[in-house]
Amino acid sequence: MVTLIRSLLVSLLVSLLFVLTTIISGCSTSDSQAPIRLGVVLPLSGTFQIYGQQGLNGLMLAVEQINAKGGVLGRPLELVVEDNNTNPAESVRLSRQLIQVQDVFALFGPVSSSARFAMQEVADKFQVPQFYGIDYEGRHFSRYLICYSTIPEHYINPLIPYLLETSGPNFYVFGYDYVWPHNMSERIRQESERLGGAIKGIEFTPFGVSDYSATFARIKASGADNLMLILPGGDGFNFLKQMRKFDFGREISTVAFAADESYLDAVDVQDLEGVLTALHFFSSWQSDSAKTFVDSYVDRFGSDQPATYSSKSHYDMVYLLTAAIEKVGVVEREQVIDALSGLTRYNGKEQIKLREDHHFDLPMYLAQFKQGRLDVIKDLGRISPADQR
Amino acid sequence: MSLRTKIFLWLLPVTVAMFAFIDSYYFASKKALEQQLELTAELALETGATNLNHQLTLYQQEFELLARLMGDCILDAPQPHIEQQLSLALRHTRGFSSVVVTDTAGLARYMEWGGNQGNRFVLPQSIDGLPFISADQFAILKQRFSQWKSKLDPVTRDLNKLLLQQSVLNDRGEKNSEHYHQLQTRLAKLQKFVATAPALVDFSGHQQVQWMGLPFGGDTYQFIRPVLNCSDEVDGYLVAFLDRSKIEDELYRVRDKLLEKGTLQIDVALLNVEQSSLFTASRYLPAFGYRDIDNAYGRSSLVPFATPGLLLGTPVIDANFIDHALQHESGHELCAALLDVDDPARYETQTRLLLYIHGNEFASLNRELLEEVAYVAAMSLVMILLLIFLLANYISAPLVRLTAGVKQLAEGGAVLPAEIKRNDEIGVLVNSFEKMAYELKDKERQLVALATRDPLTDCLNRRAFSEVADQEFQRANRSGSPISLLLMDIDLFKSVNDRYGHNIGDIVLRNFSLLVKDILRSSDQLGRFGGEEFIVVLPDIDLAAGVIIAERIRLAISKQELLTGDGKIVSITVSIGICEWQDDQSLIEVIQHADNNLYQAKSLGRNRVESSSSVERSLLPPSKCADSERTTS
Repeated sequence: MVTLIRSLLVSLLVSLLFVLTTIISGCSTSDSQAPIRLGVVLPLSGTFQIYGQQGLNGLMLAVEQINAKGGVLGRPLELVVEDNNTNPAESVRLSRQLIQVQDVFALFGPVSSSARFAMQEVADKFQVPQFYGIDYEGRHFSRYLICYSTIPEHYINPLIPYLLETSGPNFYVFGYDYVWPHNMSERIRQESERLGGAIKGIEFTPFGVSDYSATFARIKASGADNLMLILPGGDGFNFLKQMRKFDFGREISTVAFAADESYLDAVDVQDLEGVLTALHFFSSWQSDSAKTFVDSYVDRFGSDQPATYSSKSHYDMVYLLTAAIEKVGVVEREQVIDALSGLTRYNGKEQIKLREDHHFDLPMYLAQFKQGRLDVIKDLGRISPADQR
Repeated sequence: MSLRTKIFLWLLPVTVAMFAFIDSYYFASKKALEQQLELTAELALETGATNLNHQLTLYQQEFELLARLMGDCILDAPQPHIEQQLSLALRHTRGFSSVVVTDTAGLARYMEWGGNQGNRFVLPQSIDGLPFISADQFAILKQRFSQWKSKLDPVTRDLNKLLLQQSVLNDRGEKNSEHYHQLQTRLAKLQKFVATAPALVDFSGHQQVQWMGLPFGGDTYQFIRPVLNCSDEVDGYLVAFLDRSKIEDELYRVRDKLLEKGTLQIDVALLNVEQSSLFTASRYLPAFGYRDIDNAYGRSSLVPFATPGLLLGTPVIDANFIDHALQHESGHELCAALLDVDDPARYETQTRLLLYIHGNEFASLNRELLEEVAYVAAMSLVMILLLIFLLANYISAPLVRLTAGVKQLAEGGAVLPAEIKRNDEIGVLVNSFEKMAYELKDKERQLVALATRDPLTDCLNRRAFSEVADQEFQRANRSGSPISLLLMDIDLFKSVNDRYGHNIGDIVLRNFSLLVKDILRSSDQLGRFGGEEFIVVLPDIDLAAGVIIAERIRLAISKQELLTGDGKIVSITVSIGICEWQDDQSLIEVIQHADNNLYQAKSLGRNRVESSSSVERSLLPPSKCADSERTTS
């Protein structure tokens, strides 16, 4: 009897010891819970910093919302943020480092075409998906690049007939001296001439010019009815401020491309009065989905930082990426890229669709700055540009 | 403790053996997995180090080529020519991001971009007049230059002598002799010495990298060489910046090898031993604090922080090595020294390629293994416990049933059927026991019959009748129903025996009992009380009904004729005394009462039934049933 009990005790003890040692040694964080890291290269300083900061806010909002609901496949998202100082070469260095050292799954950013090209080369080389969320000239296709961008077809095509009808047939184009304004101006020329308008002048400028009076004189002399201003960011603010003080002797309709709600803070109310802009999102747009987004944005960042189309596009792209990851069920780049095409968000007229060519069908709106507000004056409808491949 | 529990407990230690086995399997597998990861890491690291060394050696040669292509005596030329020359020279290299030509004070004059991809996105910035050579670099460059310069004249003289010797040999057609080859080798060495002023390589220049806006950050390998004018005086300097991303790509290749194998939490970085700091980016490793670095090709001793994990380090070429190689043409030997683990020269380099694997990776390996082991252990445990349970049951169940059967039998109960069909020892045992039990039960029945029955008539014997009568009486008492007793005696039976013999007498007795049994109900009990005397107990029958039954018997017996074997007819009559059993009477008393009535019947002429109530009888002496009711047929 005694031996029986002893053997029973010994066997129980040994089993217990085994179980204990295994449990203790097995207690460690699981890498299936490790965060999915998303690399962000945005201009948080320099000419395009407003777009970068707004984009980052959108990314942060989406990531926080998704993490609050348990993450993606049970894994949280983590942003690894780098400031490229609006410098393309910095974008190269930073995206290389994000991929090579920081183990990011995907890249978000940057702002501007030159930086995008620079960064895209890195993304292509290391086969990492890159999500770009700002306007550009179009026709940049890569398997590893997603462009949530208003390209010329999104806004020039509907804008020209509107201006011809409401303002006049003569156009003047003024913009930065780089690829996006170059291509935009060409598109404006084609479209206006096709519809019977006339180009009275095309002019490009370097970054950081402080006095635009010579340009104003040329615009005045050209007899243009419409100014197509492709000068976003700090220089654009400066331009608009100076323009208001210049006497043109007639009404000129100004379309400021990529002008968003952040202009309301940066430029005086009277300097902005009447300026037109066309984008895929305005925070004053009274639709359910727009209101939901704007409300949560204000909750998170306060009402002094209005949500812009840059916040919206970056916000949506995080959701599209997570939808693709959830669709394939694994965090594997090639499969996720395959799953991205065809994804949509929102319904009806507001639906955005990520297409096979990695560009978007977007709802477009024409808005005007009036008395310190930026309100939609015309719903341009859902616009589906030609295949960008 | 039951047999089943005992068997179970005896066999339970088997699980210990199983756990011991699984445990040792677990630890062996764990070790193997960890070693495999370590080996993979070591291999990736060594491959990476070799590639890095080859690349740096290659870039050193590229710089020599670049310097030679640039040539001397050029800085007097117009700017476009210089820039074109720079650009042409750069096109023969792959490793350099940019080349800057400075004036004699080290201030930048011209700059040309390498053809590297990232360069296309650089926003051009003016670096005119910015310092590109530090005071330290100047000191070394100047010292080396003056040494070189002082040797230049004697070397040139030697060179001219050798050239003369060579032309002599050429003239007489001696081009394949040992002497000629030696001459050639020496010539080449001297020509190279004369042609190129001594260069300098170091790892610095992060400030200049930033000024130029190169698509990488931090220090890089800088190759600096004086550019001479036509009279062999320093006219400026050529500064080439190695494309740091080439080195970073090499590190990433090491990293990628492990990433592909699913090892995700890793760092690959370059360490400066002197400064005990990393000079490439890292995710997990700290930038500083690598103090305990020894020269051993080491692992965990190198870890400068508490995070567990594996840190491997191996020496790679540093700037001094390349510098040394440029001065002494021994680059290949140095490279070979690095590959030889036993060569102490390998540890003179101040750069280590580090590979770190986070402890989580080992934990993750361990977890996967544990899941597998735990599954196997659980399944085995369930299996073993189930088998032990079934075995214990298989052995003990029939025995338990057998025990119950024995117990029941001992208590006089029925035989419990074994219901077991087995051919083994237990089956035989159980079946034998069953057979034995049935036989025992049979014997018992026979014995009981022998003990309670009269062998001739199969009626109850006197003792058995007494028991049965008592039971019936008690039952009648409980239920309050009447009960009566008959005492019967065959008239003149002695004369039957005398006349026909005892055999016929026995037949008469047997016939008598059969006939009486026919008339009685099954609940009535017939007993043989003496030779020709029988007794009956009639439950639920009062005196009046009992008289009717008695009369029926008497009449049936008197009508019965028995044919003997020899053709004689035997007929008998019976006298019957009957009384109702009162509840205060004992069996003896009631038999006495019936006997009195029987006596009465005999004395009144036999073949008759006499009855009298027990109440009346109790008032009278037994011999005088004076007012007994008389009934005649």
